[in-house]
Amino acid sequence: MINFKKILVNTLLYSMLIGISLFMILPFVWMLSTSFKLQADVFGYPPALIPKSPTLKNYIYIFQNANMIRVLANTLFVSIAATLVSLFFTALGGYGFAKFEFPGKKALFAFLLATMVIPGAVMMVPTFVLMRTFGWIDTFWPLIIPGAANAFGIFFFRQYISSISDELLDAGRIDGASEFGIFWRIILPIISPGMTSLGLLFFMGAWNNYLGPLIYLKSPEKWTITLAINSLIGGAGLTYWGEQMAMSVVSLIPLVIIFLVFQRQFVEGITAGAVKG
Amino acid sequence: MSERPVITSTIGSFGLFAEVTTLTGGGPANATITPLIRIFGTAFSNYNYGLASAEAYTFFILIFVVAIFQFRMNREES
Repeated sequence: MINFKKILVNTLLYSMLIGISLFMILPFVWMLSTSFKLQADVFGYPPALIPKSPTLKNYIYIFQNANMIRVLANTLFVSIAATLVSLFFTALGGYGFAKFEFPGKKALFAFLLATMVIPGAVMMVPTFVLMRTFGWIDTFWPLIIPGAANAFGIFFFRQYISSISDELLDAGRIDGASEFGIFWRIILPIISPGMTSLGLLFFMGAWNNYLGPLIYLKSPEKWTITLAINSLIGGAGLTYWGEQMAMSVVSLIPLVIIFLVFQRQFVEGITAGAVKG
Repeated sequence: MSERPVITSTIGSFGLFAEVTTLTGGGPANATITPLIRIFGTAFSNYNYGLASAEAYTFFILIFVVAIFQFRMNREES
């Protein structure tokens, strides 16, 4: 009796979970399917998950006419630069807050945490005006520099570095390492798992950033992937659905590769941070 | 630190932008507009940086109140 009830509950539970999973994955599958469809078949009735006449036309179009290689190179450059610069400065900031005593440290750290409550929208206008003063409009700098010392990263590394024992740093000092040498040669290797996971978050954030490029990048040859995808939405009703979906699929490939390569460290880094936090 | 993700994700939802811009652009007749889209339009379509900053700060105060409210609720629970 009890077993029968358990089986029933489990069946219901699993079918519900499988149903929700399918619902979650459907947009992704639909994107993949649409990217191989002809424009005329995109809204064909009945809706077909497998394209009636599969075509590579969309992929050829984005590489030949939409400057896809350039767009990918731009996005890759911005994302990698933003990730490396952010990792360096947040780790440095976290090291300072974790291992040094200085007047006003607590207040400064509280202030740093409080800035996490400020939404990006509030900073949007002043940051733009500042970037314009620097003459950085239509360059990649505004996508790399303003986010370099972000509060969450510093907070993350402070927690991480706090768990490193001071004896290790003192050993470095006895051997004559400079303070920066200690950071570079002792701290950085130890926190590399955390750097991997935070770096992935930074990279994904930069890769998927839409608002930033929309504000700062004007000329099409500087566009990043999000702007390029959006440029295929026609305001007057003509949207290149197939081409747009093809571009979305291509934009996912680097993220998938990076995630597969770093998956193990990524999960480890997140859980390690969770326990320490 | 359980309250932090909740608060930051609330802030994230308030900052909804890309989805709305690409799907509806805030229309029809502002029916789907979000604070961020309004601020963006004021600043970068109408080039009225002063008004946009005022809107941004009003938005910030609103979120700040919600964040404090959430923070208090979380504290009472634990």
